[in-house]
Amino acid sequence: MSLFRTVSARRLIIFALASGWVVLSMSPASASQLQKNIAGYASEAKARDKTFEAFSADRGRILFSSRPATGKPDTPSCTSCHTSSPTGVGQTRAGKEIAPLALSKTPDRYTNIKKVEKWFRRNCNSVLGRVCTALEKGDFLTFMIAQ
Amino acid sequence: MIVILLLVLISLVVTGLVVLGGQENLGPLASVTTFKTGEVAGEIHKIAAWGLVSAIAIHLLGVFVETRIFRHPVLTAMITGKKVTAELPSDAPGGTHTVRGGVLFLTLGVVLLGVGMKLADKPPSGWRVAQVPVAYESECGDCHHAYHPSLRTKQAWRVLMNGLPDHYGEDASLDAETAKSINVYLNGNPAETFDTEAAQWVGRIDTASLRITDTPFWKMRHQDIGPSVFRQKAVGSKVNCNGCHKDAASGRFDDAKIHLPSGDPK
Repeated sequence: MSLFRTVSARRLIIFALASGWVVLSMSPASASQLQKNIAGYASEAKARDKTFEAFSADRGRILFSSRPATGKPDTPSCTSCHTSSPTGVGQTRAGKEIAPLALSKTPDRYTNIKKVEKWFRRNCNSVLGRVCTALEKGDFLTFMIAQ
Repeated sequence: MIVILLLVLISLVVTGLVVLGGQENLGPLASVTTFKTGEVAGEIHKIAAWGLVSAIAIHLLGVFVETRIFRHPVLTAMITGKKVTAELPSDAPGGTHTVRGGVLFLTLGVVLLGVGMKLADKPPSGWRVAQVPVAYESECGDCHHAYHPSLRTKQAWRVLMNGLPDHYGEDASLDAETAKSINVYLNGNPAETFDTEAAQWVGRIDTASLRITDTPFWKMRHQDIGPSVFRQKAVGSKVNCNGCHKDAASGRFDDAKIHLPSGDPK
């Protein structure tokens, strides 16, 4: 017990705690949060379809570039507002800038699951006229992460 | 004549300050005048302005008659304070009046300016800072300028908030919790609770589309602004008030805060 009372031992403990904190704060918390979000969609997709294996960036690209036009007339496709490139700066119909969808251009995207869900809810309805499946959401995110 | 001229001039200045304070919420009287008072004062101001023009005309005619026909040196007397006429000897006292008058007017001017500046610092009547909740700024402001709540009536905000799943052709739905916090803000600060020019002439005027840009006053004030201005990158579209109105977020819409962007349309 007397060991912990010595000054050097206290120093050691403080140093250990401090370095632990530094290591933790340096780890890309946002990236892991993003992975968690995708994992959430993966288990949802798996529950829906037992044959589900992995999300595909290719399917995500096709979803992004397609022009379903089954939603609201002013927003026939994702690209109506987000431009045809995931790295492009989009514009809302009201004229406000939209940060690029590509993760490389907007690194803080897709970490807040509430926000991700809000925009999928709104935009899937606006563009597709229905909710998106977990498979579509996961594919879409996988594509955007790769950009 | 001089008395009429000065009275008209004073009434012009005073009514002008009331208009400025009432309608624009600026100047020394901004804290005490309502919008309606400003409107009434505006009518008197117009009459006083024409009154001044007529008084000036009569006054100049009088100067002409005095100097040309009666040959009274009224113009030099304005500066020297001495009027040399047949009835008065040229060495009659006059200089003291000039000095006394000058000191009096200067003192009065400084006092008025000081009082005016002090009064102008007071918060204007019918306007207050509305604390914008984060949810309003982020949810509404994601797609468009987060409009000041005084730009629509309570009823219009209610209809708008209930129609978010089809918001001008887009799904802008909110979760119940967020919608509630935004509703509290809108219900507490609608156009009915503001007495500004924007609230009176735009906010309190309901439109079928609920759009601000469909109010007659909005259209009248923006009729000379071409579509190319609205298309500029800094503006985006006519719904982004703050593209030009730099104080749009506060709901003030001061004329002096309008800055049309320069540059080529996108």
